[in-house]
Amino acid sequence: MNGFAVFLRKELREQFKTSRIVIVAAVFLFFGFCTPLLIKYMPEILELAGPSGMTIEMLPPTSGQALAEYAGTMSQVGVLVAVLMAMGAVAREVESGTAVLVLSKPVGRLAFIIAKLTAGSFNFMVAVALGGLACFGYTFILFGDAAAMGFLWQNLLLWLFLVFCMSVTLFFSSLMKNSLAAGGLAVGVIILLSAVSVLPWVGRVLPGTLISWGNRLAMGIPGQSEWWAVTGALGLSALCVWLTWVTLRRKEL
Amino acid sequence: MPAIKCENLTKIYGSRAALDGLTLEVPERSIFGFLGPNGAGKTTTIRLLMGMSRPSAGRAWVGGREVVPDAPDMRRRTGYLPDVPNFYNWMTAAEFMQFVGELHQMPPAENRVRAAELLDLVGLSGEKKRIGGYSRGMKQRLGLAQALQNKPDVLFLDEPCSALDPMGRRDVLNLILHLRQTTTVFMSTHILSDVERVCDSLAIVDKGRLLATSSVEELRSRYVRSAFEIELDAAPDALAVSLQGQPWVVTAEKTEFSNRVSGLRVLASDVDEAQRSLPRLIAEAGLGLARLELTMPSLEDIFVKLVSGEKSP
Repeated sequence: MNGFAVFLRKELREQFKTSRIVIVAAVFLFFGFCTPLLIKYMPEILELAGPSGMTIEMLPPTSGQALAEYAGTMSQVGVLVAVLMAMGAVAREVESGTAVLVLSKPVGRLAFIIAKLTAGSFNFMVAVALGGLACFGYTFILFGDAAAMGFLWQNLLLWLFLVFCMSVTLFFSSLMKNSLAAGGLAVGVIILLSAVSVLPWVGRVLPGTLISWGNRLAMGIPGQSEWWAVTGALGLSALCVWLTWVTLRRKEL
Repeated sequence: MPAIKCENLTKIYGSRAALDGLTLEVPERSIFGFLGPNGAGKTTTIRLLMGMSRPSAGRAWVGGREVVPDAPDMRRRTGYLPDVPNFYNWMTAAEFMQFVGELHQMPPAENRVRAAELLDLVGLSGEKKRIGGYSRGMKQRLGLAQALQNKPDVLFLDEPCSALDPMGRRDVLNLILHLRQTTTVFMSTHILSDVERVCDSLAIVDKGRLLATSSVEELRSRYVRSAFEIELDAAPDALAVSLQGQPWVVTAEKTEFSNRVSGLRVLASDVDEAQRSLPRLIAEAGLGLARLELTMPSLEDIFVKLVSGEKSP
């Protein structure tokens, strides 16, 4: 992987110089702070918003609900952010001509791709950590308790799911000339895989299962470990990187 | 061993041949002009030679190594300036040069010194603003600097002067001239005066096909028309009649030159014989000679003749 370290340094610097890391972290922090607040005061909000005289019976919200709701929200918002971040990663560089300039040096195209995925994964690691810390801290303050280990696992699984989403998007970014088309196709495939995740057997190896497993861990609900989904996410991510490399190698720059 | 060699290099997009069986050799440490109108296949050729595009047929060698995709060894010894160079807009010129040196695995100290030298050479030293704020000409100059960062043996320049003002063009051409002793330069262009000024040899391509390749002087002599312009002090009718009987005369046309002086344009098959006989024939016709000149075609004349399909005499 000629040039991986150089590309990675450049990608990481780009995350900071273009404020991408700040923007992604800000999105996660926003939901990290808002979600526990929303869950805590949902009964009061509904009471105030509902027609006068109407009574809504709700169980008191729990810290587990707040943490699961945060992960659920971030599994959707996070996917959009991951797709937005990665959809132009290759397509834009090929279109603008920066790819031809840097890939005419003694470097490998695999290094070019993996550096992008690694920097994006780092960006999400920072964002997921900050958002998770904000959510956990605020949940603890509002509810008085929160399952730290379960939430930690939930965030790790969320991060892995987002890395998978970025890998899928990277592949389409190398395949398509247009960033928007790449993003649209990536969202379509991710939704399709999430829909298929409800199927028995097949669903257990698909990355969508990571989110439901994470929710169970955060809420302390006993259940089966979903290590096949972890393997599936890692395997499919690796497959996407390989496909991206094959596509980029064949691409006319 | 030639620095660049192509054998039947072909690139087909759909049903259109962007490059059709290009075969040529470029000697080491020469400046080679690759000349052609827009859409002739110049950029396609350079991208094939850099391994950025796969040929539909044929093979190519650069620096003795066969061109294949992902060939780090070959690229370590080559430099490349694309036709429209684009950069990471958030970087400064110095940062980009540093980055390029790192991609070439240059030692940090050497990388810094080389980057500073080249930025100075292209007039961008001390430029602090980000590349996103650069003009097209500044980007072109930075493109040239980055192509030289690794001291390449073979340098590919795709339209290096296309975005430059006259001063910038002069500087870049001087820089290319200075590379002659150390580097093989393969330069595509459609600016004929640039080729005449710096190139040792050239190839002319059109619609993907090679029309001619030789040194600039060889090409001139090959396409020299052996045309004489004769300005006389009176009507040239008598001389025109006597020329009709000469075996070395191809055509003799009456013409009026820009200063409204009448005369003849004579196309000769034997230049030496024409040079010996013409003064005598003019004297025999009782005419006074104002000017007798053997005209040489410009590279532009040859280029236009070749791409419009005319053959050499």
